[in-house]
Amino acid sequence: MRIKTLTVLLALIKHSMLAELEFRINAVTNAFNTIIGLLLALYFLDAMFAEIGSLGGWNFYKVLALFGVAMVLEGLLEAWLFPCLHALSEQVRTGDLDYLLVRPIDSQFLVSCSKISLWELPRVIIGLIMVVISMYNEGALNPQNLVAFVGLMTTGIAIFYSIFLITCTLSIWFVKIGDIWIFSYALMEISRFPVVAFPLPLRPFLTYLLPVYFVSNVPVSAAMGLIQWQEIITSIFFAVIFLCISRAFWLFALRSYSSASS
Amino acid sequence: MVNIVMLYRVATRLVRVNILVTIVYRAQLFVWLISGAAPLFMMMIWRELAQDNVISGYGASDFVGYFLGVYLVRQLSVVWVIYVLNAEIRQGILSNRLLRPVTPFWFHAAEHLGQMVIRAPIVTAVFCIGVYFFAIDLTSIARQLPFFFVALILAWIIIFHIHYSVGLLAFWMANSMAMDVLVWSMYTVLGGMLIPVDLFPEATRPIVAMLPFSAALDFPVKVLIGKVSGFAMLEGFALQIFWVLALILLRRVLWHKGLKRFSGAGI
Repeated sequence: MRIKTLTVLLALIKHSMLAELEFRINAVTNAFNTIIGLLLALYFLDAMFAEIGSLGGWNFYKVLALFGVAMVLEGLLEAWLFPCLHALSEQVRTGDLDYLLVRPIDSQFLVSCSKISLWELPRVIIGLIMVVISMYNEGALNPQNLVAFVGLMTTGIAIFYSIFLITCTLSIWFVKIGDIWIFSYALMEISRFPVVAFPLPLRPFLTYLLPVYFVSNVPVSAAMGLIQWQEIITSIFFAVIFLCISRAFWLFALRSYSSASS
Repeated sequence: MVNIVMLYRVATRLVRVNILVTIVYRAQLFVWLISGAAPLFMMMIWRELAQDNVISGYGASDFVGYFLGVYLVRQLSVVWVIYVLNAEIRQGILSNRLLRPVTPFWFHAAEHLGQMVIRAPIVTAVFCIGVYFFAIDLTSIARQLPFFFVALILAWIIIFHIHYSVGLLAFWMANSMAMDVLVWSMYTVLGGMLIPVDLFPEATRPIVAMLPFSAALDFPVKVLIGKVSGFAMLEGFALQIFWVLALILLRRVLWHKGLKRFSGAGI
């Protein structure tokens, strides 16, 4: 069963690649956009840290690493989540979801991996480079921290994926809700800043309900070697909880799905 | 004379149609309002930072006023015309528009104005709640309103024309949509959505302040919260008018050049 899923995944990636090869110029424009975005972000951070000493105890390089993490998330959103799950609302509207459901493979997997646009990946790579440069400048670049970063980045992505899946699943009931995924972009924008920079009353909300803290802050703390065991465990716990909730929500939503086709 | 009367009637009809369209898709509107909340988050961050010291002439309440103003101006000048132009040019829908007796530009402008009529009261309410909640001096804001309206209208024309010109690139480029990301990132950073333009480093600030992005966002906000007055305000208005004229010219050139290449595919 597992091997079959993997084969399907590889086939899906191959097909996405073939389609994407038709639009090679997109790779160049995306890389260009990312670099301009990076320069603007550096300009902003430079201006901000010229005025202030630290952002709730986070210095320039730590916030730069946060920007890097946000860029990785943005890249994944554009390359993977958005093309797939945004198509979902269209499939619900036209009734094409039927064809996905009758296939002998898990529907959530198929919906989540149907399309991957590789040309958005430069953003992910540049984001990772930003994190590594920040680690180097903070003197925290060692294998142990890198492993911790990759591990906790994975849990962060799992949480991010779950939230995105939940918002997109809503389109099964509200076909017209269309742009609900914008919530995920708002989440990504907030994840560029440390939670401690926000007013105290807002912090629990950003840590537990809209878990920006676990999505971006914890991976960066890990990269800088400033992470405690409790945070690692809580992070994994949160990722599992969010994955379970999104899974349950997906199955629940499918039960209320009434096909739009004849 | 007849022309002006007709133009007025066409304009009001177009705006009315678009108001109705907005009401039909009201869920979309709600989502848009949420998505514009980024300046409010920046407001909270800067307010925390300026809690007990003034940063380059901006105290805590200045930051609150500034970013509430950014929220207001940005939400009143939301532009999505790149998507519209991209779709219409590439799918050939533009042909239908060209058949009508009014230039397509006015349809697009009316679409945005119609949405704004619905959006304005909600956004203004959010702004007023913010002003009340953080105890910002309302009388000083009220005194600035006449200047603010002029600055806002000019800002709207500037940002609409930037997007329109980029959207018209669809005549030449297959992926003009990618430019949307570029415009957006320049607008957010250089327009002042993350940091007031006054806080940029001394060396590069004059350049940033000359760009159309700050004329479209930072300047009207500063007018609203009374951060600019006298000669500096006149200068700001002059810069806005310069960009309005330059961008109208650019848009017209692009439109006429592009239309010659357009072959109405798909109809």
